[in-house]
Amino acid sequence: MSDIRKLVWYFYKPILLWNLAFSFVCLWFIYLYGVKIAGLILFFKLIGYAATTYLQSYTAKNVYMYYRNAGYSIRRMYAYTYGIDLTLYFAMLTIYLLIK
Amino acid sequence: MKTLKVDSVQLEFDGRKILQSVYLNCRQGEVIGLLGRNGCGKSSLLKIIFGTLEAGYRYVSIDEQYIQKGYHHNRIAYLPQHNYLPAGIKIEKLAKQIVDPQSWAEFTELSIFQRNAGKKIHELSGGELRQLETMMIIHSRADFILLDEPFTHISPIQAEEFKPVIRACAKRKGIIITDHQYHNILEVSDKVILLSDGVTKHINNNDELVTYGYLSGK
Repeated sequence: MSDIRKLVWYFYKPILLWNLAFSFVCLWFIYLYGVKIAGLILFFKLIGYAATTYLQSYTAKNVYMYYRNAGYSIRRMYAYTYGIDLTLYFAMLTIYLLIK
Repeated sequence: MKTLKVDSVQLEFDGRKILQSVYLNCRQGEVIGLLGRNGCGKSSLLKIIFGTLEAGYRYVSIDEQYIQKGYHHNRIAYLPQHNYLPAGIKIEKLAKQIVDPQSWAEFTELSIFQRNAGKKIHELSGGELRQLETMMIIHSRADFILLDEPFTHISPIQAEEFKPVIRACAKRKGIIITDHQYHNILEVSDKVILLSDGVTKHINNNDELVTYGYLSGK
């Protein structure tokens, strides 16, 4: 089988900057309005994932075949990618809350 | 030797029947040429076998084991008509995720790979990219290979280079290939199937292509 870690990196790379920027904006809102809005922010994060998936399916649909030919479904690639992104977001949120 | 079996495929678009009685089987070790006019459903059939297009009904199996998604576990690989390699990553890194480790030495000896291994896709011409993408699929891990128009967008010399590679690959894999350059298909295939009016017709003699209206006969 292919190296799933590398494939996830290739899949994540084009959207990494957008997702990181979105995460920082989310943290900025938590900084402004307090941790009480963390649930609402998480909801926006999920909306962001939906928007990213929608945009990718228009602009980068052709490359989906690469991952399928490597043996993986696109649903699985998105699940891994957003799982990692969400983990990064929670890590940043935890660090922010610790140093606040 | 494994056998890919495709049976009873039905596909409709807006009430128009595209595929209605499709049957084919492909053994490892043989090349099946799929011919048909524009819009007759050749690409759709390959996508249905690969698992990226939903059909009204389909039966796809390998050694009688039903296959829902052909690409799962690298059972089937598919060369689409469009480019599919992601941007911003070197060709060598991309190839390593697709090419069978057992075929890696053979793949890296290809001049098209040697010339472009360290490049990214935007540095390649359209023909070079098409050739590399085709070679990656041919040398992939899959037991069965679906090639959708591999001879299109490449020069006649490149097409001539492909044929022995396809034949060599067919010693260990089953290949289904479609293209409008029918003479290339006839040359490289062990069996030819014509897709006409949504039905597969197994061609035993090239004259039948005239009889069924695929060739003009002039």
